Amino acid sequence: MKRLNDVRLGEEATLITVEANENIKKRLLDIGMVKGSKITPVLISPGKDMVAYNIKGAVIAIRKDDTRNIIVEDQA
Amino acid sequence: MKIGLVGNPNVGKSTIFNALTGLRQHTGNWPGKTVEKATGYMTYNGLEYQIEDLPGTYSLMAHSKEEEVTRDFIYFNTYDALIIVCDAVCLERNLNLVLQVLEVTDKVIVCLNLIDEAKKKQIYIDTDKLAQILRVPVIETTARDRQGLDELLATLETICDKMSKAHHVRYDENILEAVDIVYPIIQDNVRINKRAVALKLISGDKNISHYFNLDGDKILKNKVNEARTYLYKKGIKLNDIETIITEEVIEECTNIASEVTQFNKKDYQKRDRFIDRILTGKLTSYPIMLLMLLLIFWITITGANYPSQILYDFFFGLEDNLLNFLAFLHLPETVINCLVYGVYRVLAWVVSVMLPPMAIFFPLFTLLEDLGYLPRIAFNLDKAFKKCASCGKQALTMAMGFGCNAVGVIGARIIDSPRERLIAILTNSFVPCNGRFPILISMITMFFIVSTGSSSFISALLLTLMILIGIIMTFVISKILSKTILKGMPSAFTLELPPYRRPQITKVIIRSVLDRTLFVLKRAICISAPAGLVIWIMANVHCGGNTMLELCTGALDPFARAIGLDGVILMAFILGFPANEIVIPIMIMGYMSLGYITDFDNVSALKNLFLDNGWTPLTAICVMLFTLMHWPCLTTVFTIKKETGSSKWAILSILIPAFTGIIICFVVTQIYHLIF
Repeated sequence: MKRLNDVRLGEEATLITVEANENIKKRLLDIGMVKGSKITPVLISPGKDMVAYNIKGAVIAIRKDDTRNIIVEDQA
Repeated sequence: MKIGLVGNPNVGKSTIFNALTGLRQHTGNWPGKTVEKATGYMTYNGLEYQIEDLPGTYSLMAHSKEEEVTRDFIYFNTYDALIIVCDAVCLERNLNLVLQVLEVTDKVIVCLNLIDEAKKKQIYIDTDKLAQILRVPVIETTARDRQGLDELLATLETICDKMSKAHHVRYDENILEAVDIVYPIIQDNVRINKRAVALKLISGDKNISHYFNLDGDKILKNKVNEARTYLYKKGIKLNDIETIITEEVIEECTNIASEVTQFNKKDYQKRDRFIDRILTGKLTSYPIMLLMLLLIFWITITGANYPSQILYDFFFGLEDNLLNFLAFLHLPETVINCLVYGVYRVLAWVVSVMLPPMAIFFPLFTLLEDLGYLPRIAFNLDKAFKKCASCGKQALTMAMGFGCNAVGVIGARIIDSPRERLIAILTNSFVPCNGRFPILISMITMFFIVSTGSSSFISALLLTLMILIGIIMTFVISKILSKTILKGMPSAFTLELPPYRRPQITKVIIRSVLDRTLFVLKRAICISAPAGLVIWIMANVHCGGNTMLELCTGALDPFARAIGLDGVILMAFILGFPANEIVIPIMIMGYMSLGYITDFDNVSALKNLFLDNGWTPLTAICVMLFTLMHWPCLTTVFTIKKETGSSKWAILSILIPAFTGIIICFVVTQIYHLIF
C-alpha cells in the first residue's frame, strides 16, 4: 500500500483505488483516471499545497488534500 | 446546416470557429476560456452553415456549469453534424469524449488539431487507421495556420447524408441487458441514439431524467427501475454504474490510442517542465510574477507617454477649426460652447489619455495569456486561495477581470463549487478593469512623478502596488465571506497546466487593438457624450441662487471630504456607474463648469485644473483607492444578477466593495490629517 501523495516527483505510479470524495472522483474519471491508469507527479506548487501530475500526456494539478486517499501500486 | 464544435478544453475549438466563420471569439492558451456558446455563420460551396462553438468538456457527465451547456447541446439540441476537436498531442485522453459522443450520434467528424505541435514533439498518429476504428471521418488540422480546414469543410458537406454506423464501446453484458430493457419504450421522435438515452436514465443522470420526464412517465419509470433491479441482482449498484461505464470507455481509449499513436521521443515534455520549474519554483515564482506585472506596467506607461502628447496636440489643434466650422453653421453660441468646450474637449482628453496605455497593455496581457502563463499563476497562488477556503481558479477569473469585470464574472463558471464561484464573483471588482486602469495611470503620472527620466519606472512601481492592494483585498474579502455568509470548506478541483505555446505576435497585436481597445474606447465615448450633456445642463439650470451642479456637489461634499475626496469627484463616481471610463471626463466637466479656467497647453493642464480645485496628494491617493474599491459598473452588476440568478448577490456586489473603499479611504484620510 502506497499513497499517491508519497510518490516522488518523476516516479510513475499505477492507480489502485480512488477513495476520494465523489466530486474529485468524478473529476478524475473525466480526465481518464481509473484503476490501472498510470500517473506521474511532475511539479509541486511553491506553496506545496498542489501537485501537478502527468496524466496521459496532459499536466493536471490537484490539491494534496484531495488526493490524500488515492492508493497506488507499490513498485518496490 | 447546423454544426456543433465540441472537444476537450483548450484544444483550439475557438480558433477553428474563428477560422471558419471569420468571427473573433477570444482565444487563449488555457482551459475554460470559452464558457458560453457562440454562434457564427459561413457559406461553403453554396451551402449555408450555422456553427456553434461550445465550451470545452472532458466528458459528457457534466460536472460544471459550462460543461452542462455542451452536454445539453449534444443531447437535446438539433444539429446536422458535430465536429469533435481533439488535441493530437494527447489523443488518448481526448478519445474519452469522442467515444462518449459517438454513442449519442453518428454524425461526427473527428478533427485532429494541433497536428504541428504533435509532429514537433515527434508524436505520429495513423489517421486512416483511427478513422477505420471509429468509423467516422478523421481530419488533421493546424487551425491557427488554417491547414486542413478545406478538407474539413469538404468532409462536412458529405457527412450529413452519410448513414454509416459509428464505433460503439462494447459494455459489460449485464449493462447491455439492462439497456435492452429500457430503450424500446423511449419515444420514436428522439433523434439521438436511444440506447445512449436509456443508459443515462439507468445510471440516474438528473438532466436527462428531467428532460424525458422520468418522474411523470410511469411506464418509463417502471422500466428504468426494472433495469436497475436487474443490475442490482447481478451485483452492480446504482452508484457504480457510471464508474463501470467510464472505466470501460477509458480502457478502450487506451487500446485505440496505443494502436494508432507512435511516440518517437519519450521526454517530449522536457522543455515545458524546465520552464515550469522556473515559473513555479519555490524561490522564483513570486519574484517572477511581480517582475512580470512591473514590466508590463513599465512598458505600458513608458510607451504611452509620447503618443498621448501627440494625440493631445492633434485634437486641440483641431479645436479652432471645429469652432470656426460650427460658427459657419450659424449655431447659437451656447450650443457651440457646449459642444466644443463640453463634449469635444472632454472626448479629446479621454482619447489621448486612455487610448495609448490600453493599446499597449492589452496586447502584452494577451501575449502572456497565449503563452500559457495564466494557469501557472493560479497554480502559484492556490495556497493563498486555499487559506481563504476558495478555489485557485479564482486567479484566472481575476486575470479576466483585468480586461473587464463582467467577463471575469461570467468566467467564474469554470469554478465548480457554487460557494467558491460566488466568492469569485463578489470579489472580482477588486481587480481594476480596463475602464479603471486609465484613472490609476493618470493619477500616478500627474501627481507622483516629479521629473521625467526614471519616472515611468516609479509609476509602474506605484501601479503594481495598487494592483497588489487589490489582490490583497480580494484575499481578505474572500476569507471574510468564507467565514460569514458563504461558510464552507474548500472543495476539490483540477487545474490543467497546458503546454507552452508560441504566441502569434502580430495577430495578437492586431486583434487586441481592434477588438478590445476600440471597444472600450467606443464605450467611453458613447457614454461620456451624453454624460457631458447632463453635466452641462446641470451646470446651467439654476435652482434658487445656485446651479443644480453646485447643489448636488455641495450636498455630497461634506461626506466626500471625510473620505479624502470632494463633491465633484464623488459625483463623478456616482454618475460613472454606467461605465467607469467616464469618471475622469465627468470630473473635468464638473470642474470646468464650476467656472475655473486653465490654459490647455499640454497634458499637464489637466493637473493644473485639479490643483486649482484644491487637490492634494491625499486627494490623488484616495481617488486611486476609491477607483480600486467602489462599486462595479452597471454592466457587471447586471451580469452578476444574471449569473447568480438573484438580486441579493447583485446588491451585495455593490455594497461589499463600496463599504471597503469608504472605510479604507476614511482611515487613510484621518491618518494623513494626523501626520500633515
